[in-house]
Amino acid sequence: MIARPVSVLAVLAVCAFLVSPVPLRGLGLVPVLLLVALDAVLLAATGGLAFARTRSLDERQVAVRDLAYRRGYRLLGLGIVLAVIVWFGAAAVAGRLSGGLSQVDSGFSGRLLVATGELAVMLPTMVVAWSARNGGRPTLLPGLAVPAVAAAWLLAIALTPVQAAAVSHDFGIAGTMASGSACAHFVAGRIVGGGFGATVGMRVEVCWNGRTAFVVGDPGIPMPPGVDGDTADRVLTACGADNLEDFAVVSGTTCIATVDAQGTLHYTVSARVTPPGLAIGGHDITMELVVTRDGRVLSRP
Amino acid sequence: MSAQTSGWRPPPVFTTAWITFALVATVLGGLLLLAALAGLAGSWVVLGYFAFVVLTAWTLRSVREEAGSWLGRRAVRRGLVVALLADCVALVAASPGAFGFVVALLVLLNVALGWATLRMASAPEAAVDERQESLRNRSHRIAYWAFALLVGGSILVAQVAGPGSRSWISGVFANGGSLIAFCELLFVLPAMVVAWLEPDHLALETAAAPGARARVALAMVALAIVLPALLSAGLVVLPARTTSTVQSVSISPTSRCDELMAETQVGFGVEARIPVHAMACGDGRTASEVWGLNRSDCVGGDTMLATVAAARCSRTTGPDGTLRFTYGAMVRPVLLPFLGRQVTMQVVIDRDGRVVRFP
Repeated sequence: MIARPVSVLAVLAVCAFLVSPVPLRGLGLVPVLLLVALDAVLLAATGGLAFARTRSLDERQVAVRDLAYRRGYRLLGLGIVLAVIVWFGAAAVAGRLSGGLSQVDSGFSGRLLVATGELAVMLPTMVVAWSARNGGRPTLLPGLAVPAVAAAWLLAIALTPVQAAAVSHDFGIAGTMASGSACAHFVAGRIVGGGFGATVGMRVEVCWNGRTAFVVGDPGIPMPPGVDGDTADRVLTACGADNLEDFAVVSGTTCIATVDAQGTLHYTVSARVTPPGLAIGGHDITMELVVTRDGRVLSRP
Repeated sequence: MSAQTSGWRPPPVFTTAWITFALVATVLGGLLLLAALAGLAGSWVVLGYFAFVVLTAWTLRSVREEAGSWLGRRAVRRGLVVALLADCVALVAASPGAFGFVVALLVLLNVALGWATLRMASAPEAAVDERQESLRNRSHRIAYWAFALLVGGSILVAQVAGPGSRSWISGVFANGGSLIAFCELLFVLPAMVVAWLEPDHLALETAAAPGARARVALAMVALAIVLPALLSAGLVVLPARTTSTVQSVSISPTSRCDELMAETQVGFGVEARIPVHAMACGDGRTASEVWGLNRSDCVGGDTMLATVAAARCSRTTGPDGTLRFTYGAMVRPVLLPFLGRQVTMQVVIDRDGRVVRFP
């Protein structure tokens, strides 16, 4: 049986890992399941005192439980403030290293929510576990809770409807990026798993000059002859740069631009989102942007 | 005499509290003076309100025991809790113009809550008895789950609901008011629960009835709480004050022209001024606008803790050559945006250039 202070420290370490900038590569479920196992150990070791009803406790137990909540309340505030500070610092560092923040608004970070949610739910139990002197007792709870949560999480990723993502608040591009053409920046995304799965993003700069519409900024997509513009700028156009794969894996991201005989651009982003380690229960994501040679948007994600 | 003259020493004149108060009063006085000199119409009201809040807190401090016994009544404490929660909602939702009012009120309510609960929630262990210790621990347990469900639940629902709610939650946390409300709940929610749960006569069962000074202090607290709402309601119910001048100008030998200036002011402190400044002429056949009577002239006005939106803007010329211009402005207080009144400014000029109606 793991000593209770060790379990408490392990929970804090996993929470710290979750708010750190370390990429999860779709394996975010692993630390989540580790937290579930540690929570089950702590709950068994404390007899679930923090969640017990008052009428089922004696006077001393009520006093211990309520004191744990008082200490836990202060620690919760400290924990949330620390987590948010570390998160913003990590996001700034990660943004600098990867050449800019995501232009897709995936909402509040799922990993930050898991870490703060874990603290919110388990801190009183952690305080009880830390301060109580008796040893723990073996339990089958971790063995049951871990597969149950894993199954529920994977089911949620598979069954939750895919949602559209908004454009990030912190982002804006203005101005013409190709000579003799008008341009517009398009950002879109699809969120799988309601913020606790993965995001597939689209980031593209489209210009048009009356004869044709074309993509600017992606070295893999040539511009029409005679047009001068940014040929490689990831801020303008980048395939997969706004993908987020914390709790599910995004694979096979492709960004294809084709121009038809009328000069209309069809820009298509495709990817597959799957639960980690599983081939089933995935979502095929396709986003299509269609812009005519005079800048009319016929279709957008 | 001997007992006092031998060991007794007069209290120091310059205490830390007095110096702090003098500094605050000096800064506020200076700002008031600057606002008056700069002709900032409503700024003095906000600064005056800040000064009143500081004075109220000071007065409350000097009668802490008497005020504490009155504020310790359960109904009063629960009223404070409701007011604090409403203030937190206002912090999240209020426009930047109302920010000063809402924050000042929050500070005052926190001071009052401190007196009402004798700061039991954050008192050192040695300062509370067994019953109080038990109560505050229980309050923390309730506050813990209330905080987790209120804040965590809101974020979780917003996160999974859709792109609109995700975008909203991102925006909320970039808003300073939301952060203050978050910190308020984080630090003061247990005290609010103590205030809500504790029965009457929180601590000093032997407390004396409030004296005249205590009554004044409590009346100041009540006034500070209701004053923003009263001033906001005044914007809607107080009669409008209108000033206008019409001046003939000679710009054409064949027409009679007038320069029209008017301003309608509604509210006091929380106020709005709707101006019309225009020139119109009549040549005997028809009246016409020279400037100032266009759709682009139906815009806002000076406001203080109020918003103005054009509800109606029209200019017509009748078959008899009469020019009619109507600007209807919807005025709403920022703090109570569900209230509102329409202020209508009208200009009617006949074909000879005579002012028939203004404003």
